[in-house]
Amino acid sequence: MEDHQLASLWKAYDQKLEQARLLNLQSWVLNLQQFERQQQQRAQHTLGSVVRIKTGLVIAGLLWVALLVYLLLHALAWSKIFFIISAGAIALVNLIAIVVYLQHIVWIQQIKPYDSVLAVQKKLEQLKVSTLQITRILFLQAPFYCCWFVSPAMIAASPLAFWLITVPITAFFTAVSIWLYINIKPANKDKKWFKLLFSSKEWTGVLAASAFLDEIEAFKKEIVLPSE
Amino acid sequence: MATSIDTSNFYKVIEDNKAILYKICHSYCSNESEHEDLVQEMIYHLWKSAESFNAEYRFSTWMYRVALNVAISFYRKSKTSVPLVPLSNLNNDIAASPVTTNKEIQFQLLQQAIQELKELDRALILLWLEEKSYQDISEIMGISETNVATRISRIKEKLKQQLRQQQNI
Repeated sequence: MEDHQLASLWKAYDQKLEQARLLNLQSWVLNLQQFERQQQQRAQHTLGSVVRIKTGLVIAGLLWVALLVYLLLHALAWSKIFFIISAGAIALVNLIAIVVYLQHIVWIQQIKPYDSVLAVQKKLEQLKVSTLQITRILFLQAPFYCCWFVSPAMIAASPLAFWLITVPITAFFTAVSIWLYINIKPANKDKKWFKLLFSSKEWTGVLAASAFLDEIEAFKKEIVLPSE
Repeated sequence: MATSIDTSNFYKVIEDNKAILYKICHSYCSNESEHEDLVQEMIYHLWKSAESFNAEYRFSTWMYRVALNVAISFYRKSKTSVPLVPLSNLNNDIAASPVTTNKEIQFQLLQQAIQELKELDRALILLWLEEKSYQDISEIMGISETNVATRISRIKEKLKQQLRQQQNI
């Protein structure tokens, strides 16, 4: 089969469409007023809804950080040193996550459907994969939830409980959260622990996006044909 | 910003290009019940983008970019839930001829083979079949002309091979 035969087969498509009279305007929902009406409805399915969700998360995050800062400012005493450090660290981690969410919102605003196919698809998939970035950042706050309630008086009263329970648990969560922060990245998506951690349905899209990003990168590279 | 597509001529723009929108839709959406959704989504994005259409873009480049981006995103959203099925089972809306000629069988096989390609390869071959130049395809896709040429050549070989195999069965 030659190239022109492929093209000729494809040309038959136009004839078929005409024959079937499929291309009448009624079936194409071309009423402009209808477009206007659909605009609101469509927005729910497009990136606009993602922006709204992320904006909501930014607001919720800011409220949480504000509460932590408020509690922190009202606990400025040596007796609450663990709470001050923990609340400060949790607030900082959440602030970083908020900045990343804001960065996502900016990315979304920059996505234009009339940009080149690879550029748009890459941005869309990067946006999905960046959910991993937020997750790894948020893992960093885990150890601080293990020790915020400790006080110097509590350590003095029960040193064994502190050194044998609180310290090992906090150390364990510190090690795990740092390890996860370093290792949660698309490059590790095929590893067993990664698949286990992100095996739930809501992560399927993120992992598929990561695979598609690899495909896009490979697609951009020019194929070198073997020399004869 | 120079806007060349306004409300009054948008209708005509879609009317003039409905065949390609239809073909892109069929190539990326195998579920007949979702065709209308995808078409609406394409037209909606063309309508929204028309407001910011800049005369510095070539119209066809702009339109293909929007249509393909919407179709690929739509396909990727529904890909996990809707498996591809042979187009011959899906194309009920195309008037079936009482006599199925060899060319019609080949055409259906070609469509099926295109649907089985990866989404980016599918976009490339659709543009080639629509007789776009390598330069146009390069602009639409965002890869070099050399890359376009090499990839299209490979995809064509793959399609031809698949058609030959199918015909021998």
